[in-house]
Amino acid sequence: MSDGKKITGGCLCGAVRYEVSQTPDEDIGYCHCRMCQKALGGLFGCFVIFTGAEKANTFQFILGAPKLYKSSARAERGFCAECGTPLLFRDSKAIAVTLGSLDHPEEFPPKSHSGIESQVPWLTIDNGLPRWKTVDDPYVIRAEKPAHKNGK
Amino acid sequence: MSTPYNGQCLCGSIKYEVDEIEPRMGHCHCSMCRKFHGSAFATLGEAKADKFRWIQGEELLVSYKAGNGTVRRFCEVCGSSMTFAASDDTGELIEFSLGTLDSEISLRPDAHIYVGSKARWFDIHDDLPQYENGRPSTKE
Repeated sequence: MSDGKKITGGCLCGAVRYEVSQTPDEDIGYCHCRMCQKALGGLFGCFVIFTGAEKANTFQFILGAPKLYKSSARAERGFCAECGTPLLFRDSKAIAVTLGSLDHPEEFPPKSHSGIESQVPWLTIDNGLPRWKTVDDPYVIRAEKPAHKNGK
Repeated sequence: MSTPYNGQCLCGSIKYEVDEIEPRMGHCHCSMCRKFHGSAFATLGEAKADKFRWIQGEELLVSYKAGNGTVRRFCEVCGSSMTFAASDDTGELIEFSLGTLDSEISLRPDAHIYVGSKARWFDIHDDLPQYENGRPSTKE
């Protein structure tokens, strides 16, 4: 981060701790996709994304390391093998940490809802944030069309 | 919405069936549930133990017992958060993560609990009753 302050987080039992020394992407958001619901066992996921963190070496585990599960062809998810806390989502472009695992989640309010095609119909979240389906998700579009700024 | 209801973890290693879900279904905002689910809150369904069965992969459930005696279980392979048990759990009821349920159900969550620990970045947008701690009728 520009002020030199690191973003830190970790799991419920404390076995895995991480720190990030880069500013997160703008699109902090809720993800209502079915895989996030399953991975977190909840009604939605919430992620803070750090694009390029792997390459820039700005993300590191300062204690322990998560167990990884390859959840799709392009991504894997990490969780604490001791207490099960879902910690991160990682693909070739970015590392995204679960908002709930951050030490100070209140500093990163979500700005959007993605994966709304799978949103649980009776979940009431009426906060006026932009909503898009997975196919229209800017992050997914960036990940799938990395080389062309204009999309085509 | 025929029974039994079915659920499974993200990777499908663990599967369960539920014959009947109890009407008490809460959103838990306590700090431990927020960590264990990595999210804003947990939503847990309850079933009597004889109405709930693991039909595959029960041996893959890993238990994490917290300092306050609560026990949370997750899938060893993919990390899906699966169950919660209070420190004074008698085994008569099982609380399972609603996000892992695949079947449609007609029941809906009926309360927000431990709102005193709620994430400040999440605002509640429904009219369900909110309790600072656990439900008034339950032991804490």
